[in-house]
Amino acid sequence: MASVSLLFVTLLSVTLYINIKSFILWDQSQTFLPSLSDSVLMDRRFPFKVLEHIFSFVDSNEDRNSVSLVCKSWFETERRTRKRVFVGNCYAVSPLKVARRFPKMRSLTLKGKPHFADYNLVPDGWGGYAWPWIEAMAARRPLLEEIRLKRMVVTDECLEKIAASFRDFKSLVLTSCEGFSTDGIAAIASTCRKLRNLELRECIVDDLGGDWLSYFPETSTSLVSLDFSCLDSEVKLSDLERLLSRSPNLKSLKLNRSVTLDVLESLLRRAPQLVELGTGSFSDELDPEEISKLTKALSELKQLKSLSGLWDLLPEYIPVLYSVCPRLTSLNLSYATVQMPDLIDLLSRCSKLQKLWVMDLIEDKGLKTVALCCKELRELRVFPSGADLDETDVTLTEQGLVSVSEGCQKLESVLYFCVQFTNAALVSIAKNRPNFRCFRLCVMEPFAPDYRTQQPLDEGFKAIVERCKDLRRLSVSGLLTDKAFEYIGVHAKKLRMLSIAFAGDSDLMLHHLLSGCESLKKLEIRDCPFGDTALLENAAKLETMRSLWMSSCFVSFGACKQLSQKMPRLNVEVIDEHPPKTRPDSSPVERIYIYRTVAGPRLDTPEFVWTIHKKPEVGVSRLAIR
Amino acid sequence: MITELDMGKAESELELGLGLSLGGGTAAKIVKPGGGGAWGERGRLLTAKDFPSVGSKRPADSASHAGASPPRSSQVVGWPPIGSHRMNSLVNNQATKSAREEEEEEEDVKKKAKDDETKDVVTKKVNGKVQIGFIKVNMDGVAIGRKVDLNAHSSYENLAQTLEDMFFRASPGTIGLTGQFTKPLRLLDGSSEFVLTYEDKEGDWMLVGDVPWRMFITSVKRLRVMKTSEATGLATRHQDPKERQRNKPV
Repeated sequence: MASVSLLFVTLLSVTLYINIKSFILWDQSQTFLPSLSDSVLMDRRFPFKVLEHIFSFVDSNEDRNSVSLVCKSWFETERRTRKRVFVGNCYAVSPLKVARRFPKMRSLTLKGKPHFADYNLVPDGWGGYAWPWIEAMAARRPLLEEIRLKRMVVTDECLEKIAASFRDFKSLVLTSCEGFSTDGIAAIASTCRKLRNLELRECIVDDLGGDWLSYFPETSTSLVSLDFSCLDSEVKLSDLERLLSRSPNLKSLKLNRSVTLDVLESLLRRAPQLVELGTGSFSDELDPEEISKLTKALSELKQLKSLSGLWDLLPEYIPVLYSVCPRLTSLNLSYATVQMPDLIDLLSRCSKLQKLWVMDLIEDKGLKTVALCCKELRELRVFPSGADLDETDVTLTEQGLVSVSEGCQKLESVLYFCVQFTNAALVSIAKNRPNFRCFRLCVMEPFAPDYRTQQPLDEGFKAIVERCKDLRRLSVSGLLTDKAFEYIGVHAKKLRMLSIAFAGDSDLMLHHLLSGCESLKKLEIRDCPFGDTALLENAAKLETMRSLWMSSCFVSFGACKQLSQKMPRLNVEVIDEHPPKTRPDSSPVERIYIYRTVAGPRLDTPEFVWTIHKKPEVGVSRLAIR
Repeated sequence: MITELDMGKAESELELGLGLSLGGGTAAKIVKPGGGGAWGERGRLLTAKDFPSVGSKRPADSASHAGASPPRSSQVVGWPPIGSHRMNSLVNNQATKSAREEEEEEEDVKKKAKDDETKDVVTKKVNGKVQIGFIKVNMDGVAIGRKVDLNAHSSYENLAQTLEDMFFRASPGTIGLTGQFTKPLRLLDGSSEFVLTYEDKEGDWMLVGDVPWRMFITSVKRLRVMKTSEATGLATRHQDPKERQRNKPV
């Protein structure tokens, strides 16, 4: 950011010197201006070529968005030079406009469904279709090289279209997507000659078998990363071996669970240059010779920094991993069902670890080891193993997180699932680690108060938002009153994303947030007792945010209608799986999803999504339906 | 600056409580919406009273109140907020763990003399194991798939009822997802136009109902409500694998 400010200062002083009349665009950066010819741009302004060169140093899209607001010529120059385009909500803008605006686009990132779709709160068929985007880009931006999609519906047709349309296509990364089968993957593998990245992260794929892997042509040697960890079926070992042998640039390989332990050694031998490895299942029985071979193969991975997979890791195989531990910066043990002593054994050797994902089997004692040994830790995620439901003794408490916050000075991102918590712990954590950027605490028992004092966790979260001035993302849980949200509204000025469940007392809660959190971009709420008043009072705020999700709250149908009428640049969606036959204004809605958009109403809503545009007689006169 | 909101009017309107949103599946109890749009019939907003174990360690016997139990935190839709891939992994872990433990326990029971207490311990423990898992349900001719929480059901009857409600709406004269007026069906006894089938871990499609319920929920991957005409030749558990291969539906 400092370098950009310097750039601005330099440019600004120069332009003032040249005495240019610059004007500020008041509209959102998505307003598109008619393009100006190069001669106009050259005339009495900073030469286009010079601006272009300067802008090439501006990487972050946020900065580029700011740049594009300065004046017309900056807008024009910026848009012609932007290569990586990010659209946080696929319904916020039309694919056609994006395609037209950025002629040099090489990479497109899109996000579709709201985040709570990850937890089954968004019914199937809601939307988030990739097809319109792929179609538009195929027609207008054939030089596109990379497509990254998150929470979108991607069909085999989409994948075939990508394969057929972008001759230089290099990179496909799908996260939490669904709607396609392994046939679509085969199309990408077989047709994209320059393919470098093929990553399927936690997708729901119609798995028709492991044949897709054999579709990589024998001539393809360009692969840099391959992630098929979310697929179920077995791939042919020989296909995989041959692919690895001819991919000298392969840096990241994430296998699926069906790849058994006995074949791992043979794969690793063919890819000693790996930087990231996701193993398959780690539980088959190996004889001593096989174990020794595997140990050796792992020790040959001199560049290995990241390890994941490790499904069903057996304790007796932990020594096999010893050799890679000292180099590891990222370790994902969240599928490894090993107990605390084994985890300690492993983690005490990982002195360079920056990112750790693990299950609550690590217990407080294990986290204490982490605090002692992993001084470089930046990100920690502790997931529930379900062991507490089994009534087996897993002692993971708030103390674990306190230890890590004490010992790991660089810790800035936490996701922690725990059965109960205390205010005192939160206060300690905040004192220890004011550098948190992301703090997500999930107290799994809804409405659980501080278990020592029986008080709400208001004071604890107050400490967090007061001390952690750079907090960008926060998830709260446990028993919380409106006070907690008052604190958040007052202190969390840099907060961009907030997730709330089972909290608060009244509309004041929402009001505090919407009127206080200046940087708020995404707010998602479930099962909280407020609704209409605060929503309508703070309607203008919603246009400054990407989206608001509310489910199982007290929002009435009438308020949704009112909001829709009042705010034409918002799409207000009411999502009711069981809509009543008649809908009086006072009736509650199950879910409401509100987002700003310049694309107008969606045309692909399913029957269970209501928007005001569906019932024109309700009163839509000022809205132009495009 | 609003310091106090006028809650009086809002409160009287909200008096009857709010519909309990249950996402793509069902949980403990759902009160079907009757006519008239009154909120009370749609259930309640979950409050602290619904989670009696709050503030203390979860008591072991809260799990054994089968029918009348308040929703446990694991039965509320989308809670705790864990992604579906991780959830399914947990189900697998629980399943293999419980399968192993059940085997061990059954051996123990056989070894000891027939003791009522021992039996109770076994039953209690089995009830206490909560498996978390939503699976997808698709129906022929319906574009929108749904999700169902197997854990919230105790038997095939239960499950069939939920699916019938989901896709057909049991109350006469209502229009369900299929867009037609339909009579209630019997998905399990082969007497209707549709049958219930499932895909198991090996990828085979089988008719639902042949195996014990508990075995079913550990091996099912997804469900499909299939037209009876298409369901001929589906494997049942008792066929040997070779026959199964020959009979695989196209």
